[in-house]
Amino acid sequence: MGLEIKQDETRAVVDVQDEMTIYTAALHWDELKPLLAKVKAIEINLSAVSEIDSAGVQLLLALMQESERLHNQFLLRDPADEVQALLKLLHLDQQLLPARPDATQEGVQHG
Amino acid sequence: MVVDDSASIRQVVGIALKGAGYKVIEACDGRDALSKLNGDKIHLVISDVNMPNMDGITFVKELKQNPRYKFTPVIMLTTEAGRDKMAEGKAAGAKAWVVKPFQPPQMLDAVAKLIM
Amino acid sequence: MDDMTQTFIQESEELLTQMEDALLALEAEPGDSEQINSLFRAMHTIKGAAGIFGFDPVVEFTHPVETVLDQVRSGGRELDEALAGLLLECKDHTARLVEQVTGGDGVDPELVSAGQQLLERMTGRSFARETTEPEAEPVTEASGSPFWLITLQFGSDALRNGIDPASFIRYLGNIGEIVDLMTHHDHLPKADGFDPETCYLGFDILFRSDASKQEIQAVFEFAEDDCDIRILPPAEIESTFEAMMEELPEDHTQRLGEMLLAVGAITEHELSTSLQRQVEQAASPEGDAVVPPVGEILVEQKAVSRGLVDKALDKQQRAKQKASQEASLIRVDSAKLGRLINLVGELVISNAAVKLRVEQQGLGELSELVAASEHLVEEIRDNALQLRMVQIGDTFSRFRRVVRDVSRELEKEIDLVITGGETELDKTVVEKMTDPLTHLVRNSLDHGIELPQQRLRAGKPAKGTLSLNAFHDSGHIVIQIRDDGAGLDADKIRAKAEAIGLVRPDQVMTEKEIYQLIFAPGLSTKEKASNLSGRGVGMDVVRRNIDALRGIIDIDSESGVGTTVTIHLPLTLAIIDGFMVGASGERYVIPLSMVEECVEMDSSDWELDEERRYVNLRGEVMPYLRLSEFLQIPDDGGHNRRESLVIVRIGQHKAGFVVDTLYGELQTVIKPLGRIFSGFRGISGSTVLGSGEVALILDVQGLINAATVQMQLH
Repeated sequence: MGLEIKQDETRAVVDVQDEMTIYTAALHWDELKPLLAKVKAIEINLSAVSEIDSAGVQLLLALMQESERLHNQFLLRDPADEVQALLKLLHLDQQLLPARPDATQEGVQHG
Repeated sequence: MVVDDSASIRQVVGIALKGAGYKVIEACDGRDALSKLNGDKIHLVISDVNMPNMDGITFVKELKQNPRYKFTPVIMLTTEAGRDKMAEGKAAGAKAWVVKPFQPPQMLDAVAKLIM
Repeated sequence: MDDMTQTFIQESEELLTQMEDALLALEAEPGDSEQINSLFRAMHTIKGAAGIFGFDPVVEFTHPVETVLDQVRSGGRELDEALAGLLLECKDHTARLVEQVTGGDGVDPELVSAGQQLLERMTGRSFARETTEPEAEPVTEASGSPFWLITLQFGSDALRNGIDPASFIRYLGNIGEIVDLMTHHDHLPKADGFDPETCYLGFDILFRSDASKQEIQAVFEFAEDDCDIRILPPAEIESTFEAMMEELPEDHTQRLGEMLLAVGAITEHELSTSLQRQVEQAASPEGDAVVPPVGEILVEQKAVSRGLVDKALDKQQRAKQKASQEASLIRVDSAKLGRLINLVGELVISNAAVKLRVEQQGLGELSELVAASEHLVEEIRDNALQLRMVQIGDTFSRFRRVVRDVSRELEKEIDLVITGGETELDKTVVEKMTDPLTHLVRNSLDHGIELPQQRLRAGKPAKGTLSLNAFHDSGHIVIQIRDDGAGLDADKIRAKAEAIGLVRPDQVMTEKEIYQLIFAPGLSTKEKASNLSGRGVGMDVVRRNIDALRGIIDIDSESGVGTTVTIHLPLTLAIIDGFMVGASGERYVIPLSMVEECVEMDSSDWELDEERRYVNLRGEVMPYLRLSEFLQIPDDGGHNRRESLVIVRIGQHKAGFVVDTLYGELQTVIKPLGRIFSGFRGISGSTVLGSGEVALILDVQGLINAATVQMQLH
């Protein structure tokens, strides 16, 4: 459960195997915020997110904003259906999700 | 979770919620409800105000003390006459109210607003 | 019969049995609160369940019974033998009702009327013709356009309170179509300031629906406390601006630009650019040409529609007209009004004298005439007093400026909310309240409401709220100053009070009593005095001002939640309805609104504890004073006087006054005390009785305080 983080010098891949809700937002933030300062690119795999609410969305927005401020790359990958539906409802899908989620990403493997 | 000392109210609410696809835990007062919290996630609590052993407001206060449930939304069941309890309940952390008597669809509406 | 009805019957039977058991147990042990609770709960639960099943006859009957039991529970009504008997009948009646409503043949009208009679005997009210008021039909706004613009800005605590914005938005989809939506996250702070449990989100939603505004509003009902919700049909946006314009206070209509800004029709930026342009045009080589008014420039820039500008100009015009109309009112020197009211007072007294004489002489045929003139005099009195009544709203509004200036100076964000501005009270009272109110408001701004950063850290909205509220309460006017700031620090106040020797370290005090200490001279808890308040002068002056108005001041505070100061004031200073009592041959008047109850001499209802200085009235303990003793009236020799007790109450403070005689009610005019009396404690004024005798008016607040102190010392 929780976050699985793989990182090298410049990149981090985060696998969220947890809910992203008000209950987990603080925990996730505490783990991810320091990470942002350390790497130049972050990729978050959302395929295993079991549940998401506004707090979870807000957390994603905060991560994106902070990445932009630090001129980091920020990528959300493979959103689970529920995540995709919520981002769509809030019209944030275009802003947060890459245009073609599974396009040829030669990025780090995840799993 | 549905907390009410009236078995018939529990039954009506329970049947309505189960019919809408929710899983329901029933408890007959605040103390019973607290004893039935076992750390499993609860998406919503529906609680009466006036109950023996532990009233709804004390129950909500206790619930909100528990880090596992401090963000759990609470719907309080109240009567027209119990409106003055609303402020107290809101302070305790119950943000939603359904006034008795209610019809099951009303209850489902209230639930849907909070955890749809 | 279905399962659920069966459950209801069974449950009702159990509850009714419990009710009977509780009633019987209470016979053996009256006042057992557990049993009383159980009685209440039985009726409460049956009512609740019956309501859900739609068994209205049961609801209609059990509701009033529940109300009575609630009174019993809160001590407002005694559960005596008679009531216990009635409750047993109620129990039986409820059982019959449950039987009939679930039987399917409807309820026998005779049974219903038997129930009504039972309720009448129990409450003394008639239930026969009582019909439930029809629910007010929601006014549906006819709107040509099915598009609505919904703006939501969630409060910082929304998520923590279990309010998930997404859930409400999803629900919205049930009653219409979300055409477009924009999630605002521009309030998200930078990483260091971001608290993942605080909500920073806002939404603009373009919504297509046939639902009424009320129905849309109802979707967000539970979020109301945690969300700023605006729902505008686009076609109505314009008219909303117009409506807001209508509501602008008259004294804000001097400048067109400011009016438009105030209703939100233009932004500050738009206004300043237009003003800039106006200046440029005036300074241009063709400066002699007519400089276009701001309104024209704004319309030209498409910042605002011409219709709205015209509306604003129209409003300006009307405000000017109204101002000139007001000039046609007669202005009267308030001293003249004062003299009139004094004379009316004399008239009241002399009328009382005539009445007394007529009664003494037994002039029966005159008494009708006297009663008629008494009625007239009362009307004249009321009208005369009305002349001096002014709304408190104007006084409250003056604080808008204070709040704005002070919050700017302190770099705080504060909203002022005014309610009850239409409440009227005597002008002299209003005038004397300005200073204390100013002080209290400044105190809240300065010490109460925290800086925005502190508030955010405490999980509150950055913007604090100060509310001023006024309302009438049984012959008094109540003024409340409430802030949602940090609250008072009882420990700090106590420490300071001990340091300056105001209280002993071992003294036991309630939180409320500690809060009252801030009205003591020389007490200020702010470590560093600010510009505005906090030098330790002022709060004691506030107290003195309010005492002088025969008012009382109370403080409620909760750490982190805020502070409420409540002031009770008499409506007028000149004339009161009084209750006259006698002690050692002297007569005293107590303002009737403060008299809670009189207990006749030799009643077994009360008992004095002379040692510890309290009186026990039917189980309730409160401080007391023996008037003759406290006012040091020379004893008139009647040592074995038979005493009576008058219970007085101001706000939550109660005391008993032990007196020799109860004379009854009278209407009286307060005269300020002469110099001779000004040193007397416990007296606030004097009055002349119809018989020509002088009676002293008791300072009830002062006496309650004295009695409380005495009880604590013993």
